[in-house]
Amino acid sequence: MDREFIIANTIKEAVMLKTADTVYIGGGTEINRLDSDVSYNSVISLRKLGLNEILVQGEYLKIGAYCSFQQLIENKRVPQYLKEACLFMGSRTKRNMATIGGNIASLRSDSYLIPTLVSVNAKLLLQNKYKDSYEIDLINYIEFNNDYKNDLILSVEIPREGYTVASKRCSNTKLSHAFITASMSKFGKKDYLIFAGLKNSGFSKFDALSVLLSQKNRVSITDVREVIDSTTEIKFFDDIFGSVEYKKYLLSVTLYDLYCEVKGGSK
Amino acid sequence: MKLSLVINGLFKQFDVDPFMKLRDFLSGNGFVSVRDSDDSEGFCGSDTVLLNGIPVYSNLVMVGELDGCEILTAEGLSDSAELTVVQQAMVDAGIVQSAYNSPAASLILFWLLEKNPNPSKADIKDALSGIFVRDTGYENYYLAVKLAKDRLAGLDSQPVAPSFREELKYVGKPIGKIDSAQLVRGEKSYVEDFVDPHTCYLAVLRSPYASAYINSIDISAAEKLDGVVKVFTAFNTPETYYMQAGQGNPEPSPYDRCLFNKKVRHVGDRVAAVVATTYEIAKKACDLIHVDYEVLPAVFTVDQAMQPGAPLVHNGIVEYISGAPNDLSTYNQKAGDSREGKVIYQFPIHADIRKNIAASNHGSIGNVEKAFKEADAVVDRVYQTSQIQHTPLEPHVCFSKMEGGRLVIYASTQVPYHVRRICALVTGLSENKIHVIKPKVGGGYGSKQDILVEDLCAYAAYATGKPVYSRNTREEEFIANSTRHPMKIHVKMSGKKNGMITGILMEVWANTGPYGNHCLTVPMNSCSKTLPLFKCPNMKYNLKVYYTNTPPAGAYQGYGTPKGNYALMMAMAELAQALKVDYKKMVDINHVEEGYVLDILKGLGEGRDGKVVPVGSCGLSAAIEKGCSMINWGKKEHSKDPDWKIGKGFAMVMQGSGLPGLDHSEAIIKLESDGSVIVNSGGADIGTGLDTIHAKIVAETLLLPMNLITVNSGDTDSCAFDTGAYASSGTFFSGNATVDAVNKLKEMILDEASHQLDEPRSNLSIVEPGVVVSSESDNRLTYAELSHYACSGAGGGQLIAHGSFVTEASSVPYGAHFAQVAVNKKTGEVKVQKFYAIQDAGTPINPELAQCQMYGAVMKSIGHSLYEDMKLNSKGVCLNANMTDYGVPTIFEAPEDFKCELVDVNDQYGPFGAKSISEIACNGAAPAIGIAIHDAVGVWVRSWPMTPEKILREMGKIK
Repeated sequence: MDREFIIANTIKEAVMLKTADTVYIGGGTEINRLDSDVSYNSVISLRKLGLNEILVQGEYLKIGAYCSFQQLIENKRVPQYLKEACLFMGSRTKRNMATIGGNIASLRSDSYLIPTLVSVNAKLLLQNKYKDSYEIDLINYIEFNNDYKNDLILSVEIPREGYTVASKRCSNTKLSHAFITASMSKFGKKDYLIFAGLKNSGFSKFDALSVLLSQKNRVSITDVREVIDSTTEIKFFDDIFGSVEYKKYLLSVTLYDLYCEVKGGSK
Repeated sequence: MKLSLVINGLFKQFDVDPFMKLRDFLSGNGFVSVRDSDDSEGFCGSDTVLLNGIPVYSNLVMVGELDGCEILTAEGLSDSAELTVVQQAMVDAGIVQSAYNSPAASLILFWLLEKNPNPSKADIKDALSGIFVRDTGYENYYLAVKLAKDRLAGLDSQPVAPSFREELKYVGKPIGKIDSAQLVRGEKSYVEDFVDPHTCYLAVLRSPYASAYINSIDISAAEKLDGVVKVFTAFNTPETYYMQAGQGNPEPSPYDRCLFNKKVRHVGDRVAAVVATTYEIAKKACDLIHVDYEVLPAVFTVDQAMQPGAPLVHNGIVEYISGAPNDLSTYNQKAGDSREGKVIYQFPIHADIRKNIAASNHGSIGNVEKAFKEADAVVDRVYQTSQIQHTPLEPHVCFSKMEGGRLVIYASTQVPYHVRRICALVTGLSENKIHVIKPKVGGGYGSKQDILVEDLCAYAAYATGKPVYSRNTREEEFIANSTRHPMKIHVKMSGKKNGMITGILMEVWANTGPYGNHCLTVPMNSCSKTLPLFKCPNMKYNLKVYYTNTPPAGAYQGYGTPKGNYALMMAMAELAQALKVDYKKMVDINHVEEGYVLDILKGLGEGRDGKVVPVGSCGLSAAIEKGCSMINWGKKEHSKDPDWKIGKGFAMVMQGSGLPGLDHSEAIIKLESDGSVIVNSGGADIGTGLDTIHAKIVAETLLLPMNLITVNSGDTDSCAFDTGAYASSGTFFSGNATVDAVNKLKEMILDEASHQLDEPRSNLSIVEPGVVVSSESDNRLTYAELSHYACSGAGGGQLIAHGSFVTEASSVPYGAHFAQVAVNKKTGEVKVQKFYAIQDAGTPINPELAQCQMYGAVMKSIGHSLYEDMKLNSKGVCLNANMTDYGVPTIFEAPEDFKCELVDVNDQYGPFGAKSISEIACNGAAPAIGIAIHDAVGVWVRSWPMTPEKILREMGKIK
């Protein structure tokens, strides 16, 4: 089949034209980069679809998938914790280009935004050629991605209130790929939600730790370390980013620091 | 696809492939300022343009997205010959040096100030966060913004840098680099800008194995591919042995390779090369080549290489041009498979390839064993440095063609004459048949002292008769270029309770990789540019350099010194701790001062006997005192956050100014018929301002304005010989050659004036602006009048002076570097809060450029100390051969408080008292930061990079 560069004029047109070997292109920082693992024959440009609005919708903030990281940083309605996650992408030039939808759809374990968004139970508005727009939890999009990988992300919805959130990114230099990106939120009276991406390992919710944090009044770093040491929710590997021992230690310290931060309610 | 665009204010329509990257589109349409440093990694920012008024990476944009968009490139910033305010501010601040992404930076700063006329430091940092700067660091970018902001507001600007030598008009004054306007505007400057239409492209098939014999290569399928011109392998190219280091001939490096070898010795080694009409066809043809390998065991560290029975990297026939040992024939009876090839030495460098030893050396003064025995304390430590890549923004690149029966080579090189000599060897041509042209160089840092792509590109053009262009990918820069030699350094140091150092033993085991470029001299520098800092009477060094199957090592700014200095300064700090002596007191007691005779140098020549000399001009004490005062040495700082601990450290530094007795520079200066001057310098300006130094020297000597002086350099046809820009030789050697030439020209002018005016020579002198005057009459003769007559047919002909410079004198720059770090005791993170580099450069001829080179060198060294490390797997594959994973520091890693300052010392040998500047600033960060980390959290991290994981391990937080 000939390669096609399609500039979709409507969402309907975009989803109708989507096939297994076409990709949607947003900011282009992932598809066009060196050694991109996105393979495609044709592309569908989203630039004319108007998916770059940030709107208040009841208890949620609805963020168009085509919004760039920098747009989020500059928007007064976007909560500080999400702005901070956007700033994990150090390069301003790249932040001018990269979109929230693209960062989610890439599903990279070193994603700048996914841990933070999952930790607030973010929802996605999707559409495909068989189904008008519909909503799912971001966590489901990640866990069952095969079911959704051909869908177009229209928007991301985050709750406007009710969550105290802290996130941290660990990398060699600011512009290096992260080997740990972790986020934790506190919601309700004492419920905690954790989500972390570990380079070369994938994502994990660390449910056992969430339960521990919710059940115990005082949690020490030793408690966190014990959970991480014994976790089977994710596998750790020795790689260019460090040893298993180092990663487990640093993840424990990071999650404990995030716990202290959200428990204190500073954000 | 039809596309309408407004580019630099002009509406244009195009019919384009919508998948084409915007950078390729712009470059193909003549907007050469938009360059590529990272093969679309989205890291370096050389490809930045403004798209609808916002900075984007053009490599990450497909043109199909752009219908109706507006694009601004650096070419569109000004439509007059004048620089914009921002561009002029960048020039004045000294940050336009190798300048490969200066046009991109000028766009970003233009955008910043348009958006925000009064940006904060944080705003500037954010704007520059998408640009990687390797040559000048980021500090003077803040200055450039301030200058531009003030000028746009109509305010007077501050001086951009200190001035030196009141009595001089140009030398020692920050008045800009003579080629900076061309560079910041993004005009044609670099090799890639001179490639002819219809040029062929060269791609290299590289080894997937760290060590293997090549049994056979089937190139038939590749040759059949449409567009393929020629496929080269070891089976159809000459078996001519050479080496790629650009060093003085005869070189203290072994000739241990051919264009292609029948044994590959590292992952990334050359197996074959394809010349084709496009790069894509050449790459496709590489994929069609079938190679039958016999895979061999490999070694990757000096510890592995030195084991008895270790796999041998070279095991062929050994030959000597001179000084062959008596038992050579017996030695050669042990040679292995014929595919091992040969190793040819110009003279003995104490190698033994049957033990993987590429070179060795040793020497001593006094008696270290006795010193150790009688000491109050002895420290005995091993330090390890890592494999580091230069990462110049412009990768290695070459364009070669046959023209009029001659081979013309456009090379991005530090050593045009070595390029010519080595390409002559490879092609079999005589040097008069080769013309090397060095355009601007987009960053070298030592890697372009080596002839890494020119040999093959030139041979390909010669053998095919076609113009051939070769450009390394960024991955090739990592795996197939040169790198900093990893070194394991054992230091044993003894002292007395009063802080006196009584004995130093330094053992260096260096890893040269598969080939021996600089294999003797880099490790020797780890001793010869460090031990002479000490007045210690008992010193001994012993170095061995091993071949391994890692990516190759070679020259890197600072040569071996940053590694040796890291080990020695750390050991001294550890000794101070053992003796319970204040570190500064120990430094004060033990460092050399002017006049101290350096006996240790007697064995530390570059493959020859060294020369014992006294310390010359020396700003070491001044630098130490100034830095200690600036950083409040001795005062403990505390963080408000209990997790962060603060520590301080400092280190002495020294280097050289070229290689006395080895380096050689020449210059030819012509007085043109209108009284202007053209300088043809053999020296190679690689962006550091060497051409400006020549211009200033001529202006100062002939009392001519700078705009009447043109410098042409690095062209082997029009200029005379120069060993090249390495070993910190440019200012001292090439500059002194210009001093010699211009002094001769001045004498010729006065002689000619005497003849033309019919006045005694003793009556005459010169005054500004280029006029000969008489002290006894009203006679005046402008250079224009003088030269016009000389060239009129009645005169004596054009005045042309030739100067040269060789010396046995050493002009050593000194300094001290200071760091204050904060270390997170929970995570091991390190932040460099303060860094002060205080140096003696003699008379800094270009003070603002000198300071920026210091900032750049320190930033590199902070990278080497804390972040950068080429990581190989167990098969020798580099796992992080890209900018993002490798870990170069950017503006985020720059110290919060960063100052590079010069202490005023006038040198007796340098041109107008100048010494070198470029390399020495690489030598201090590692020990200063290492000592500061210890001061903060009490642990010594004895290997590069000093990562959080290593700190945590030393602190006992992890096993």
